[in-house]
Amino acid sequence: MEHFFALFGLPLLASMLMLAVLGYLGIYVLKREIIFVDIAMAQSVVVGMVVGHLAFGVRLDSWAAYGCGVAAALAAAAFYAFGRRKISQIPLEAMIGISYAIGAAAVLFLVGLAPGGHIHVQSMLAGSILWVTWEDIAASVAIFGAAAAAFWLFRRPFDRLFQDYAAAAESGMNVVAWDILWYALAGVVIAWATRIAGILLIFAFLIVPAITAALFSRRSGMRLVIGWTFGLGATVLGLLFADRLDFSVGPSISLFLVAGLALAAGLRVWARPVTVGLSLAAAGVVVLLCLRSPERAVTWAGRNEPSAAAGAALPSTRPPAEPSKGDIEREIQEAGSVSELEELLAGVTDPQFRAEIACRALELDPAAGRELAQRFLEEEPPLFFRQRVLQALDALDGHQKPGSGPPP
Amino acid sequence: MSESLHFLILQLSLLAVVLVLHTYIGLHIVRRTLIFSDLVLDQLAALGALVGLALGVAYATPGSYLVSTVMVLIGAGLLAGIKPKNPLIPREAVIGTLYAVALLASLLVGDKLSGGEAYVNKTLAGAMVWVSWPLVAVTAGVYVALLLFHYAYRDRFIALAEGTAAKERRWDFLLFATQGIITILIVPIAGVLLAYAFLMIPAAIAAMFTRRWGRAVAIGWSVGFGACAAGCVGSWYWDLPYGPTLILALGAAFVGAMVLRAARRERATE
Repeated sequence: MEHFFALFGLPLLASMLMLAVLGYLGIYVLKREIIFVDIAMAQSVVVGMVVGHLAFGVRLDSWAAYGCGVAAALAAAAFYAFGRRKISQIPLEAMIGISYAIGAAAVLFLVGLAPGGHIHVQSMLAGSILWVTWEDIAASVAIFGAAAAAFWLFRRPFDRLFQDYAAAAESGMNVVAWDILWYALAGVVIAWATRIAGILLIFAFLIVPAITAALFSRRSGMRLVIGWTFGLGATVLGLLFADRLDFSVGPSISLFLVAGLALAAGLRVWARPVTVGLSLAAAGVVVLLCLRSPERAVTWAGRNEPSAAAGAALPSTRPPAEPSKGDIEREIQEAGSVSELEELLAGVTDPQFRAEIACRALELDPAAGRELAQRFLEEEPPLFFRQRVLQALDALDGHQKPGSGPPP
Repeated sequence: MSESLHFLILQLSLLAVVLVLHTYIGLHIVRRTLIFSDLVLDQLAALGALVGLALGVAYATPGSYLVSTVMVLIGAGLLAGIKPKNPLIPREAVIGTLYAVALLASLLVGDKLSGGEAYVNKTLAGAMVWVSWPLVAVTAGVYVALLLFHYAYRDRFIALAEGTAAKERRWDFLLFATQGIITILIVPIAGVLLAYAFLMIPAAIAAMFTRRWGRAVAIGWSVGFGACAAGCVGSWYWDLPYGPTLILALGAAFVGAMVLRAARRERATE
């Protein structure tokens, strides 16, 4: 247990803080049927952070990046508020869904232009709550506390807005401004939570406790208490699961949240004996998890170095990694003869690299390279790679430079 | 004709076929506020591909498609079957939860898979560069068959959207299964996000301007194809990432349509 608290104490504390504010926001989100809003908001925050990183060189874990994220969230807030007011033919959720797709595409577009982009994408989805520090906790208390105070202060106008939008607009309430304020506050919370926990975990914290609570009570206060309690239980179990079975923390907590929801729904829908049986089985798994010791000692090296790759967040039982893309590319470039490339070709299955090997062979030795390229073309590779090799062959005949063509 | 131009024409022809069915199914999704359902199925198809990889089945092969099909049909069953009666829980919340489940399962499988991050990214971004002639033929064939099926039973499906359907769960399942099957075909080519954008954006644009189904499909297809063609050419010409460029082109069309719609409404109320 000491090991558990030493490693997961801070992530647990951070999760509790997020749960407190997101559990509350979740009730509004369900009421208005804007389930997507946090994923879309989180995505726009990430767009802001990546733009800040690429345009101004700010570090992704800095305050400046958070500021860029919040600015993007404010733009998204204005988009939703105006969309809700001006467009009545399609549901707000559709606009939110589309803004999510655009935001996600923008991130992929931007990181596609920057090297090593896919590592960022994975870590933004899964998050790296394991690396949370005391400074993060202090900032969370300040940001979530301020947002919670604002939600409390403006609870009446927000309630009016969420109960009946049309009636609020007819009564002269400035619905666009209040909407922007609500989304902006949600954006500030989500921007910070995304930074420390990743998109998936925030989404799970926002909607799963709220749905679970709605299964058992109609009173807002009671739903809040049920949601918080349920979320805390799932978080502790998720952390145990991550610790004992060597999985990433964010997905593990999310797993227990949705598993808990499934059990709770079962309790309401199926016969009680079935659910009690399932619950007992789940409890058995939990006991086993607690008794099982971690597979290997976790080193504390890099505990305070958020820049460590997300994949190294936990002790790994992964099989040895295959040669990375960079390694293969380097080997292709460093190969000095076609026979070396032939050897390389025998060990590579990815048509992208096979095509590169063929092009490189053509550069090194046109005669032997042509044979190798011909063999590659006979494999009927995907059209793009076929085209690349054909272009390289064309270039040999003096028509075109190798490697030009549409982007991968 | 140069190879590059040939390749571009192939991509555009595939887009033209794909967009008809996507716009039509997308209209159902937008009008019934089942916005997340496509992401659930997309993510399940991607999960199928990842599970296939874990079992030693190579990406974008028939075996991989089979695992994805099983996943997607399970998803269609859950989407059609789970309809909460509790007024505090909208159907979209169930869909959102299923999405979280599919996404986290993908991350957990990716976690244990050698090079998992790269695959998770590949399933998100997709790679039109993997298009091959047999794939084009299979995709076009299945799309045409599904289109004919939906045309034949259009009354039943439209009744679903209008809330007057009999045997709602069965037709719901068929709708989600169609959505799932087109997802399986399109995700390895286009990725989760582009598949989602194909479905949602042209349909949402069309739904802003008309309530008639035929006209909506025509508007959605025309605007969607125009935006995709612009994205495709832009991506090829300026050497930009393929999928994201197409989505951004579709997104620009959507924002343009929103502005036009809002302006027309303001003019009408003046």
